Amino acid sequence: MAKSKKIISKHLYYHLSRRNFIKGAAAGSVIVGAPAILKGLTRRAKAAEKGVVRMLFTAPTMIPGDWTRFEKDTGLKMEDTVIKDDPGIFLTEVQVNDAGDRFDMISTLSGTEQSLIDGGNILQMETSAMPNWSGMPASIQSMPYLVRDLSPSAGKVWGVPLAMNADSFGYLPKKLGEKRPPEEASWSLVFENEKTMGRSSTGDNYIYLWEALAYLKHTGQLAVKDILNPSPAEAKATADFLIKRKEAGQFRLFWKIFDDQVAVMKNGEVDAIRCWEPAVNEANKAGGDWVYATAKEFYLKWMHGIYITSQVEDRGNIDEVYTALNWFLSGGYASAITPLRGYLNGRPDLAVDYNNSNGLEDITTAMDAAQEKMALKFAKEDFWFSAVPENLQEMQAQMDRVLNA
Amino acid sequence: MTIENKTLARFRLPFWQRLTDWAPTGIGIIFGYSVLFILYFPIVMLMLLSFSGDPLTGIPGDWTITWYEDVIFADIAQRDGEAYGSNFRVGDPLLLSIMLAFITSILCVIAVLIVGPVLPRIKWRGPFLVGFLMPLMIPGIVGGVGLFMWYRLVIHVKMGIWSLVVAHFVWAFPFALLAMLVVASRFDTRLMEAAEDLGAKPWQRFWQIEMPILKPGIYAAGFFGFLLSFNELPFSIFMRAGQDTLPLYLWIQSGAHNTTVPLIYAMSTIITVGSIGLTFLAIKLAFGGGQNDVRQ
Amino acid sequence: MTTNVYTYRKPAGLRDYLPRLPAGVWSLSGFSLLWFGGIVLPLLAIIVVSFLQGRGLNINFDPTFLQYERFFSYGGGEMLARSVRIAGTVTIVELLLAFPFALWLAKGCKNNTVKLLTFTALTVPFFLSPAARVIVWRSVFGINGAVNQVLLGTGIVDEPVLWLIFSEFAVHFGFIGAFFPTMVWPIFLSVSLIDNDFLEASGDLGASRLRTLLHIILPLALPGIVAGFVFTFIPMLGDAVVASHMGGNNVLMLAAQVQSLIGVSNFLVAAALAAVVLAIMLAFQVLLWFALKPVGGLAGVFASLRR
Repeated sequence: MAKSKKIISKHLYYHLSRRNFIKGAAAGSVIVGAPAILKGLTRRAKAAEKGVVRMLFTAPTMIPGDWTRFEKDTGLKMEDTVIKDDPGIFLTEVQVNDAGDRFDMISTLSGTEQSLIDGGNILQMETSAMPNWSGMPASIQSMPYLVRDLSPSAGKVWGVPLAMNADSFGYLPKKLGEKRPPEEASWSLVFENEKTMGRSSTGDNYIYLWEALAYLKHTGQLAVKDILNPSPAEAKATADFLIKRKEAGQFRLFWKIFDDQVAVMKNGEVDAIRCWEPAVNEANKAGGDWVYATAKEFYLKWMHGIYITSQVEDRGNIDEVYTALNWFLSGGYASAITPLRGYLNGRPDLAVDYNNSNGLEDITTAMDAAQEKMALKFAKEDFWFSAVPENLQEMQAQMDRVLNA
Repeated sequence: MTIENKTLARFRLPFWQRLTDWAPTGIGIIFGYSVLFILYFPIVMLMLLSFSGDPLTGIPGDWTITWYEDVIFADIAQRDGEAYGSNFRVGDPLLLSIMLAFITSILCVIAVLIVGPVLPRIKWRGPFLVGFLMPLMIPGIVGGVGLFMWYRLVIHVKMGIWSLVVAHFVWAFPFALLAMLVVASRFDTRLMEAAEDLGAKPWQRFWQIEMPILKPGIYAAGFFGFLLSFNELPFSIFMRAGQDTLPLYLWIQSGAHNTTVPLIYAMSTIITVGSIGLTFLAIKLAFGGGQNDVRQ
Repeated sequence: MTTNVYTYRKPAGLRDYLPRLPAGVWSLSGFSLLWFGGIVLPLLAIIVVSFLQGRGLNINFDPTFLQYERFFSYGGGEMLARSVRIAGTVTIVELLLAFPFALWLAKGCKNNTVKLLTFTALTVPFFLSPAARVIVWRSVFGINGAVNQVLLGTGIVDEPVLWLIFSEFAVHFGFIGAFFPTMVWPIFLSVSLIDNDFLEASGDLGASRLRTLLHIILPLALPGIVAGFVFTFIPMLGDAVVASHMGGNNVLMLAAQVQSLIGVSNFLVAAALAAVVLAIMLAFQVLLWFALKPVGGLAGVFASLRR
């Protein structure tokens, strides 16, 4: 017994010397890590402050540069956070990681709200608490895919618009011998055209499969029952079409991000490309001849909505949240975001007055142009994009099949 | 035989044999520095482009420092109260990434000190090794989701900085362990016996025999722990919960409808310049100018 | 305290395998418990998940092969074969390029400054975002890029070469530079541990350099080569950047596929994919085990080199 005790103590001793080293290392890690930990703590403490609203974005582009206008107009402070807009990642952040504990408002691509409502993650809204709501054009208040949940006519408002736009594609009119906008151009330039063979491009996820599907519908190549909710069979037929085009050598690449679009436009890799509107401006900065098409067949219309997280009810800062929401429906946001990105919020009509009464620059021309363009786009047959269509996984899988071909 | 004699002996050989003698060295140098050229060409180009007016074309020129202003001053984000296009606020994520890399590095050193010297000597080392290398065999983002589902949905703990540390450790540890095993597998246990026979105390044996021999492995483990953590993205995606590391931040920014490449170039240039100095110092300290002191 | 612990032996048990490091056993057991319980178990649970049904994170316990059927019907098999082929090819090329270089760095290079600078050069790229490391090649290899300008200017080709970018060639090329350091480091580490006396003795005994390389250096550097293979192959399979930026998504690889599945909450098919990858990796291990059987398998490679 005595012997074994000694052995243990000796083992322990040996062990301890090793452990001492480890302890030192651990202490070192705490010292090194302390600032980060402290910072995390203070940030959390600050977040609980009165007069601060916290909002989650899924697109960095929606943030109007800085929040000075917001702070001046509302007397509140804004803490913004951005995460990736993939629906899977957004929904996990909200539904499993309890984003509501950390945010008063969440915003993302519309179409996600049904999942948020089903999950009990967001609150129903009082439109009367937002003075700017009632002045919104009826066309915005009753957006086709929002009718179910957002429109007042259904009695339930769950979100307000943050910003919206309608997407088409860019092309080089002179090189392709096509007319310039406002004359119409066909999506065939992107999907099936000898002139753009090997020199066209589209994106790499389900959104762009959806557009090809809309194209097939409009050109009568595919009977589509509900364009807002394509069936798996329709998605498969579209993928077959895209694979045929890919094998014929139509596409130069399938881009992933904004910078991909701009780079191939600037470097002369493509003549027609399904791209985001700001990409055309960016590509033309170096003297390009790119135009953003007035689409013949359809536009992909999208909107980012803002929703109140359920946890706000317990935090009791609902009034501050409504003040913030009302600001996103005001000229303050409109006058910042429209000249910056070309997007419209719920009340673009207030932007000019806002700038004039605040002694800021006159943006009448920019606002008029943006609204005129939007009216033209919204006049096209409706194709409202929803981030979470019923067969989302099937659509993405079919797009993967295209990329794998 | 002294070096001089060997060199002389070599010169007495016929020319072609001398050539085959030198060829391997030449091949090594040519291969190595060619690939380093391939590796560094884009980095030098991006440094030039970060000072260029239009980086996306890939042609340097039209020199400017505006991207640096955007990266460094984005936190202030105000130019005469105007709405200002850049929201590129990279300071906090960079700081978090550095901290995480330090913590991961130290955890890796501790873990490989526990596992490395013992693993080559136990009977069931095969299954143990497979278990320790497990994270390598599963795609990172799925591994991240797996851990996330387990901890969040099964055990019901919330994600935070702790889970990021776990994620980075899980990713870096197998590599650190392999680096350590390269060294530890050659560790001669008879040295410890001999030391003990000569009356060395346990701590003496640890500090004076085990540590110096394992030193390259320890440095390598710490080194890889740091580097792998610094650029870790896939595991972090689901283990983050409100925390942004640098790779996460850049990944999120890539979803922007405005150009971020010039800012990434400028930031990468800053990081390159900063890391050159630090790396140089770290390597000088760690490897003592490249001489290994593991002569046994 | 003068008793020699090592003269005392328990009749039988674990300690027989661990004659010298008793304290190490306890730390190893503790760590292993944490690791296997906290990490390996959840990771293995992914395999269970891959046989279930559901939508998003609402999963029913209803066993099925559906997810595997789906995965393969979406071109998953081709994607996996392509990923392994590309990553495997590049890893072997890296090995051929890195081994002579690591050898020279460890044994041939006598200039400490050159060594230090080379190490630094091999390390700094780790700090850069993977995208930043390859993006520039797009404009160099592009239709109007420098390479095509030169080829057209010298009259080697009449039309711009299109396969330089957004192609498999581009993906291979993008990987070569980016994953070179991860191959050099472990090989360097193992070679530098080889005692110079061995090499000199071999030379003094009349062995040619080739013989010394094959019979002394290669076996002793084997752990480094195996580690280098793992360090390079695995992160390359997990790289989503090169295939996207250099391959223009015409060449879909593993990591991008996984991101796309996760992006639309398709966790179940992603789990099936992970299970397939795990199976492939284990198959590789078995292959490796057979290949290394003369030296006692993967673990044996490390263990047998004790002197």
